[in-house]
Amino acid sequence: MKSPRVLFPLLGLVLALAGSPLYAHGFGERTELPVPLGFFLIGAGVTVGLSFAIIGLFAGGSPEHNSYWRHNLYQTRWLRLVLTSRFLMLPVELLVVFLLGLVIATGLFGDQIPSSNFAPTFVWIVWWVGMGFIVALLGNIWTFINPWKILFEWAEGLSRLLRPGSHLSMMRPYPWNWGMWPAILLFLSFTWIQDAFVQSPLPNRVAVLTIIYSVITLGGMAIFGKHQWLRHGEAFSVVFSFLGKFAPTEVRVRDTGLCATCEGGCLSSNGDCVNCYECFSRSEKKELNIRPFAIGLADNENKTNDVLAMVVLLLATVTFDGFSATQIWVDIQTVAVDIFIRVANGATFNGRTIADSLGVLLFPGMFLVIYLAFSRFISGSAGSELPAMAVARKFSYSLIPIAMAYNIAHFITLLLIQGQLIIPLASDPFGFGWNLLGTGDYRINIGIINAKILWYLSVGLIVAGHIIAVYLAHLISLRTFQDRSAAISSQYPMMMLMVIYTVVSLWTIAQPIVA
Amino acid sequence: MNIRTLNKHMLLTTMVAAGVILTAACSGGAPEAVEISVNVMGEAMDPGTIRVKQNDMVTLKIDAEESGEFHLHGYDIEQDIDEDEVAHFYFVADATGRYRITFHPSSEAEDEMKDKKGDHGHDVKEEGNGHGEIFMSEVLETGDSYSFLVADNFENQTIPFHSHLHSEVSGSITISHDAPESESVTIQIKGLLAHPNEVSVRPGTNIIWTNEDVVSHMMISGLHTDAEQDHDEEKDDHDEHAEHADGEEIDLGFLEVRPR
Repeated sequence: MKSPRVLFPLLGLVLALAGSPLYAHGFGERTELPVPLGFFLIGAGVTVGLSFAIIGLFAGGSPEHNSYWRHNLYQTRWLRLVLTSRFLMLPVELLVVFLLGLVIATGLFGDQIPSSNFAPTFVWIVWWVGMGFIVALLGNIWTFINPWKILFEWAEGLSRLLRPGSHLSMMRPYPWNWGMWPAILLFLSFTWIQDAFVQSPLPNRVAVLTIIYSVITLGGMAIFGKHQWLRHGEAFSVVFSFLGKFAPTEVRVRDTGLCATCEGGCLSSNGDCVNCYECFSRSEKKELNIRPFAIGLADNENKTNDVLAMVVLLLATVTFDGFSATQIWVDIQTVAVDIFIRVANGATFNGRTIADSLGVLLFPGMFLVIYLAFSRFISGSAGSELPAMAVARKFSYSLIPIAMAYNIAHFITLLLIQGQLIIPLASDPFGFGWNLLGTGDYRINIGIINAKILWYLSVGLIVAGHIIAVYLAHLISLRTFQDRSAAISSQYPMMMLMVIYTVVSLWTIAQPIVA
Repeated sequence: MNIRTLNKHMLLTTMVAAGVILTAACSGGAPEAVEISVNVMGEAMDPGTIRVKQNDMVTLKIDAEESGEFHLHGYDIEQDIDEDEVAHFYFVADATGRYRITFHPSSEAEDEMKDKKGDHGHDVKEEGNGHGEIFMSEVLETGDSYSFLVADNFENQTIPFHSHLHSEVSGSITISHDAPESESVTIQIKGLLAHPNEVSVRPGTNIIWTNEDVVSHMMISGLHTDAEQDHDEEKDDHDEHAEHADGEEIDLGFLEVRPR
């Protein structure tokens, strides 16, 4: 290797690995200032104060919880025509499939310095972080732009064209006791890649993992049918469907007969089905509704153990992603490196990886144990016979708003600053020096959002998330426990848990992100 | 009590809280010209975190013990620093945030070495102490090792060595026929120390350095101070993309730009 030019890509690779702690989340350099102590203390104080204020409010009277305000956008004729138009959807479908192909192509054949390649920035920041924001704040658009679903539908269409009456999918009956566990396992793997796998920023790894996941997803749909796999096995459809419950939009089918026949069994107690895309694609009586934020989390669905597991995994993942960038975790990693130096001291697999892997696995376990312990208190203080597991399942959605608010506070800087990288990369996706769209020379504007605005936003969001969580828990408690006084006394332990979770979240954003 | 009333209460409380925060956090004032002395030594700088306020006109007076490139991430400003003089690194801190500061030590000596590496042992000078003239390893990640076979013509010489990335790791190899015979001698690098740091071997012995540190090393012959002399005559004129080719990017610390 005489020429230093040959060395660039290789050293870039080495540096990407050496600099791994900064890429604790998948990929991207963090530049946010920690929230100052004053903000943290006031945020925490307001959290505790408002929690009690809300209990006081509820003691006097309770909000209606059986139905909620909604407005059907399809009532507006032109809006319905535009939103259901094939002319809108086809270009969008072509675009997302093209983007999937582009991630694989750039990852495999492009420059291997992560910041010069389209794949890492697109997958880790624009898609994973950005899609999470859009789904939670706008609505579950993933279900319409899921490239694997679209590819599968295209293939189905093609096979029907070639052999009329045939089915592409084997339509094997989905084992009912698998529930969402395939999606949970896949999401756990994704979390591990994001938080523990040192090579996650490398374009090649991004491409290879995308290919592997494509094979699993298309295979799952081919074996069990599209809808079954999307509901139970496609990790992102499942995750985004949880985030979408927070969103201020829903799709609803008002057709009890049809809803009853859907494979997913999505019929709700009032005869409609909400956010069931299988029914939605088949029904004529469909609505696209605007609704209050977070009300989807107050639904009356029967929640099974896999739902509980998925929610706990989501909560733990979000928290661990932030916690793993704090000094405490770096100290733990350093200890782990010393402990495991004999067995694992490679650049990719070392004590740090072991510590992160344990974190990814043990955090959800720890969350579950704590949550179950509090569920036991909740049941006890309501004087109820309900076992802790049943209480835990019933209240599981109520914790989601805190996690979601924290998630936004934690990632907003990354999305706004590092996400800008996609602008030059759109012109030069392979890192070959192209300038296809004329944006190749774009330089990231690091001043796009001021730290002070971010601090208010972060603390405000987390406190608001907490309020919503407390409110949801109250709705659920009224449904769960028969008399009002039992419902209210059940809420003290829940509130304690929520205050702890919220304060931990606030504490995490008050920590400097360390290398 | 319905949601709407609840929202009003929330809003009110939040506004009160925001007001309190505002008065607490706004220590304001006009932008200033500030000068901060920064000492770069090894893989750290003093102060470890440089704190300024938004829109300050900042001059960092950088005194580095080694020549190299000082890189402020985010703002993406790079400047070559010469070890002999205090450099003035000027910028306007217009964007708030916490930005990484890294240092890329100059590597001309290394580049020169790469060419010599192929034929080491042939034209070795008597002293054999020149920086990187006898051997130089690749970047050794944690767990990597590097070996160097001591040729016969080194007899009765002492070859000093150090880590090019962390010069505090240093030691020497004394070559003598009186040394105990062995095929290879292993030197562990751990905790930024070489164990053992002085070895005595016969010609024909294989010296193996193993990196058991968390950080990367690059084992190189010569004393650290030789490097500084080598650098003197050379001027830095890299291709700007070459920054990564300089070997390790050393994390020095952070710049914190706080809002006013």
